[in-house]
Amino acid sequence: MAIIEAIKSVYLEADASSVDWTSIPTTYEHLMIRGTATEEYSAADRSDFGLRFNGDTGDNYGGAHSINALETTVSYTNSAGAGTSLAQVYINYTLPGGKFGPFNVGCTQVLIPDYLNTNKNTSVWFGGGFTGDGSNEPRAANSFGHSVWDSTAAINQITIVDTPWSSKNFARGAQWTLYGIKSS
Amino acid sequence: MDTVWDKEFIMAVWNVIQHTELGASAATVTHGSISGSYDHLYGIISCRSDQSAYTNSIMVQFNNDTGGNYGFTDIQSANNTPSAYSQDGATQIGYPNVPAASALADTFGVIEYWIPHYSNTANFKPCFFKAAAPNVSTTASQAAMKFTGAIWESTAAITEIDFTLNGGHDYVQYSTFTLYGINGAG
Repeated sequence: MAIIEAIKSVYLEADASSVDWTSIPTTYEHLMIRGTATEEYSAADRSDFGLRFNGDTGDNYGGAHSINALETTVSYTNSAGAGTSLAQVYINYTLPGGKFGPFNVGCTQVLIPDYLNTNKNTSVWFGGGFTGDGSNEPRAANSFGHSVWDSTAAINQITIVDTPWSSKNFARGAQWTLYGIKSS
Repeated sequence: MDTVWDKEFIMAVWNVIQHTELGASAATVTHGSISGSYDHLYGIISCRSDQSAYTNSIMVQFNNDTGGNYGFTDIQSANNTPSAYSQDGATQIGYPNVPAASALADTFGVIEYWIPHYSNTANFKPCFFKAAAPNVSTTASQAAMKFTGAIWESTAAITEIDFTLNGGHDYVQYSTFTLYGINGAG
């Protein structure tokens, strides 16, 4: 019996604004998401996206992220952002925008430990980054952060939403995989 | 050529060594009697401190070594400008952060760590921790995350890992600690 298993994997055959995984099994201890994607919106140099649990679109999420964005070849801009009362786990600066073309994807990893424990809110760690090209800024960036969903419900659904405030799409070719990790 | 499909028995890559969920608060959590039969160790921790503060930090020792044989360096962000910290000659590895009693109720931290080649007796033992102490707050130091690279300056194989909290505080009930053994190719 494998300890880590791919629960669901999605390859976008067409641009899509979200990916939805429902009926997540209860046979694991931890969940992990790995994805490669870019945004179809051609004017964007980077993309942001959100995670929502169990269809909850209320302002029940909080979190923060730290960003390193390569603005020139010799200097970095470092900043920290944080939020409360968000409508999703907010992940920024791990995926490029469509300005770099459809083949230039970024990667993101998300860890969700103990996702079934109804004595805990759902905590999330995420990280990722991308490298663009040309003279557009930022040419490269990485971002790491955390979030909490203020709910002790067991997770049975995860929705990945591209650019949650402006209804953009993940570009065709994006891949997202949900893994389950067992503890026995 | 010795290809993997020539073997009569193929070992699983991921193996659960130990999973602990605290039924009551505890000051120390130990993964003991760790077999040397894997290539790497990987762990996931979901925990919270009972300290009266927004965040606390886990402390890590191997094989009950309390000497000044640990070094670590980290980059951290706590709702403020990222910063760095290093320490050598330490008596334990610090300070991957976790939520504490003043953080949002029922909110536990996320820690992921790797200890590659933990049973190699030729080298010191490097390890890497990623830690997050989430909270619903934009105030500095009320949430935090940290990346910590560390080394245990010993060539002994790691057979025990002890997790405590900075200041001697307790992990609260429902904190979980999962340790995996990871195999490479046979």
